[in-house]
Amino acid sequence: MIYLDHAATTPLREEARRVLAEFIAPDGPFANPSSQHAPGREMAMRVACAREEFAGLIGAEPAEILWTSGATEANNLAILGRARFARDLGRKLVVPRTEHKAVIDPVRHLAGQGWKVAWLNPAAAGVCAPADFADALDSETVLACAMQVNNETGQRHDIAAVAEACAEKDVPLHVDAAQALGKLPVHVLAGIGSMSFSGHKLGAPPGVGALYLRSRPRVGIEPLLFGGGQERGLRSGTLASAQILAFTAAAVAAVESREAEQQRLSKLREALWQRLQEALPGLIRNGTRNESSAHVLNISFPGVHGESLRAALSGLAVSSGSACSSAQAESSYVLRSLGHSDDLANASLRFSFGHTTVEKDIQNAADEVITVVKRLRSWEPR
Amino acid sequence: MSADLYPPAIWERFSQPCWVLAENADVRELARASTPASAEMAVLYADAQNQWFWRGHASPWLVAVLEALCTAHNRGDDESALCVTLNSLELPPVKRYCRAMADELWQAALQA
Repeated sequence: MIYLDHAATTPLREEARRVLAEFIAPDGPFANPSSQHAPGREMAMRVACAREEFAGLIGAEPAEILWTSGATEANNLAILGRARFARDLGRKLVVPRTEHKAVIDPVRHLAGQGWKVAWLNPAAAGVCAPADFADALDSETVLACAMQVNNETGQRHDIAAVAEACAEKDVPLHVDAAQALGKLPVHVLAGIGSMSFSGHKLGAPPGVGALYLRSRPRVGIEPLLFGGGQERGLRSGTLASAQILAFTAAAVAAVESREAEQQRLSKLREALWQRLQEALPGLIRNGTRNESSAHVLNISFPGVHGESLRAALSGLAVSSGSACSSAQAESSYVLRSLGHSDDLANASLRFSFGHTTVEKDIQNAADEVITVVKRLRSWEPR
Repeated sequence: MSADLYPPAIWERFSQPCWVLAENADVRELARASTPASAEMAVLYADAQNQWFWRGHASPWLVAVLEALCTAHNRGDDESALCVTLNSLELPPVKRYCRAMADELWQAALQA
C-alpha cells in the first residue's frame, strides 16, 4: 500500500517514537505532573521544558501554550471559549466557508444559539482575501478565524495580512495551524489571538495538540472543561505527559527540517502532477502551485465516477473529495465552494506527502492512478 | 478503497467487467438511462449479432447491474431469469435506483 495521506495523519517520527518507548518501558516514568512528590515534580519539569521548547518554535511565551487532546479540542476551546467570555462584547464571528469542520461546526453551534456569522466565500484559489476579512469585521465581532493551510487543497491564507486586518479592527484572529506547523513558517504575529496545533499531523501520536493563547494583550476565553484546574484553569484534565513530550520532539524535528523537507516534497508533488497531467488530459488542479503548501496536491478527474475511482485505487491510500463511499456520498464542501459540481468534487483525490514519502511512492502512485483513470474513462458513453 | 467495501457479487463484476463496449466497436445505441441524484448514467448498445454491451458514468453498483443485464440478455435469459440475477446482487436500499435503471434499460432496449 502506498501511503499518500499525510494530511490525514502521519507515521510516527523517530524522535517521537523514542519518547514513547521510554514511557512504555516497564520501568518508564509515569507520575502525574500535578503531583507534589519528587516523581511528579520531575514530570512537571519535563512538561515545562517541553512547553518552553514548543513556545519557542512559534515565538510565544511558555505560559501562552495550553496542551490539549488535539487541534479539534484547541479549535473548540478557542471558538466556544471565546464566545462564552466575550458574549457581552458582541455576538458576531467572521469565518471562511472553507475552514476545517473542527472550526465550522463550533461556529455553526454558536449560530444556532443566535450568534451572527459572516461566512466568507473563497476566491478561485480557495482562500479568502484579507480585504474580505477587513470588510466583514465590525464592532460586534469578537473573533475571526482563518486556517493557515487548507487541509483539502493545501492553499495558504495570507495570515500576516489577515492578522493585520484583524489588528486594525482590534478583533483577535484564531488561526488553525494544524496543517502548517513544520510545513510553513508559523509565528504568533500581532493580531493573532490564538492558534491551534495537532500532534499527529507532524509525526507525533494522535491524542495531543496545543492551543496558543495570547497573553499580551490578553485574549479572554472561558474554559470548556472543569476539574483539576490544569493549564491555568482553562483546560482541566491530567496532562498526557508522554504524548506532550513526543509531540514536542516531533514538532522540533519538523520545524528544524522544514525548509529542506518542503523543497523535497515540492519536487515530489510537481513530479506527480506533471506525470498525471501528461498522461491524463483534462485534469483540474485544485489550488495553485505557488500559494499552497508543498505537502498537498488535490486533483479533480473529469470523466470518471468518483466512487468507482476510489474503489479501483486499491493499492493507494489517499483521501477523496467525498466523505462516504458506501451510501450516497457527500461531496467536499471545500471543493464545492470552489465552484465544483457534486460529481466533480466526488471525482477528486487529495494526495498528501510527508517525511516518509519517497520518489518511488510517487512513481508507483502515478502508475496506478493513470491505469485506473484510463480504464474508467474508457467506460464513458460515446 | 478496496474490495472489502463491496459484496463479492458487486466487486467481481466491477473489477473484471466482460461487456464494456470496446473503443472501435460497430454498434447501434439501444437505450440510455440516467439518475441526476447520483450523476450516473448508462447506455446499452447492440452489435450486428445482437450482443449487448454497455458504457456508463457509473458507480461499482451500477457497473455490476449493467454487467448482469448484458450477461442475462447475451445468454438468452428471459425477464424472470434477469430478475433472479439482479436480486442475487443484493443491492442495499440506497442503491435500488440501479435496479430501476436496469428495468428501464431492459424494457427500452427490447423495444428498440
